[in-house]
Amino acid sequence: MMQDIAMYILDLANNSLYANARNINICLIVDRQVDRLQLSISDDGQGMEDFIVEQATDPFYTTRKTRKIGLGLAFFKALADQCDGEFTLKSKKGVGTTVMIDIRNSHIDTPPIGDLSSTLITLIQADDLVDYRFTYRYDHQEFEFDTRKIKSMLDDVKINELNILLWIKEFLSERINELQEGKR
Amino acid sequence: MKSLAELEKLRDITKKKIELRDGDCDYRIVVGMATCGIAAGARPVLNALIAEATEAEYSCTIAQTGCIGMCTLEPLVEVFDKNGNKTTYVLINPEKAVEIMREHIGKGNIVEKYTVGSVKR
Ligand SMILES: Nc1ncnc2c1ncn2[C@@H]1O[C@H](COP(=O)(O)OP(=O)(O)OP(=O)(O)O)[C@@H](O)[C@H]1O
Ligand SMILES: [Mg+2]
Repeated sequence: MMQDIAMYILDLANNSLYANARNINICLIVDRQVDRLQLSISDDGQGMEDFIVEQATDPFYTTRKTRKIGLGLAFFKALADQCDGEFTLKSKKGVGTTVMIDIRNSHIDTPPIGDLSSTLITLIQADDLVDYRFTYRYDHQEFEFDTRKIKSMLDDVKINELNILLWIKEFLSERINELQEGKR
Repeated sequence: MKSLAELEKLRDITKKKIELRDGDCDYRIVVGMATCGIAAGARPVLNALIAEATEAEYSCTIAQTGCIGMCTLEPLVEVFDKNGNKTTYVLINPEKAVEIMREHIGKGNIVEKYTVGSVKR
């Protein structure tokens, strides 16, 4: 299992990257009043056939060549089962995939949020042609980050130039901390 | 607070740096980023490499890959030199990653103690 939510996000968005997605939407909602944590990752990648959707959370299903088990979705589903929650996987061949969980925020097994800005720059670094929209709602405040907006300011400089990535990381850390501390 | 205006300045600085770059990089660094790698701590390793490479301006590119096939030895970092020679480093953490960057990428010395050959022995 993963130590924090940010690691799940990285792992699931990597599935989207392997499915050749060009647009990945990550939405994290923490609402302490209703005591829920919702996370969804959706992509416009190659999707899965219906019969594969059924098997995809089985650790013994993978399209990897290096080993016979695929753990990502099995871990994510186990997290939902453990934390009073629900797991949903929707996918359509040729259209895309959405995976989400809705769990109890205060559950003892609900992991901490973790380092979201590291996760995001790791994803951006992997492929500059993929775009991300990250929406984070914490109680009633919301923060949205879109790589398209950043790219529109960069002219022909790539978004995954290392010093640009480091700037984005700091930018995100500041906004995310502010959001979580409820100062907005 | 970081402002988007600052990003424009950084863009212009970066443009100039890119113009000054000469030819191919000396090294290509690859970090394993499948579930096995992520669970073992590959993300902080990659972030440490990015920070160190940016600060010291080493001649290297950094890339990510899926499962390399040695899941129990993750986090894995592979270093390829210009001639295609590969060094595989295993069980890496951010501190070891910085050491590899300074020694191997910076000075050309392979850090034997972290290579797959030394660890497996
Ligand atoms: N977003 C997605 N789009 C298309 N197919 C997917 C997506 N996510 C998962 N799959 C399919 O489901 C399989 C199982 O995914 P899972 O994350 O559980 O394991 P894995 O990615 O194969 O390996 P691991 O996550 O352990 O590195 C994948 O091999 C892939 O075929
Ligand atoms: Mg996976």
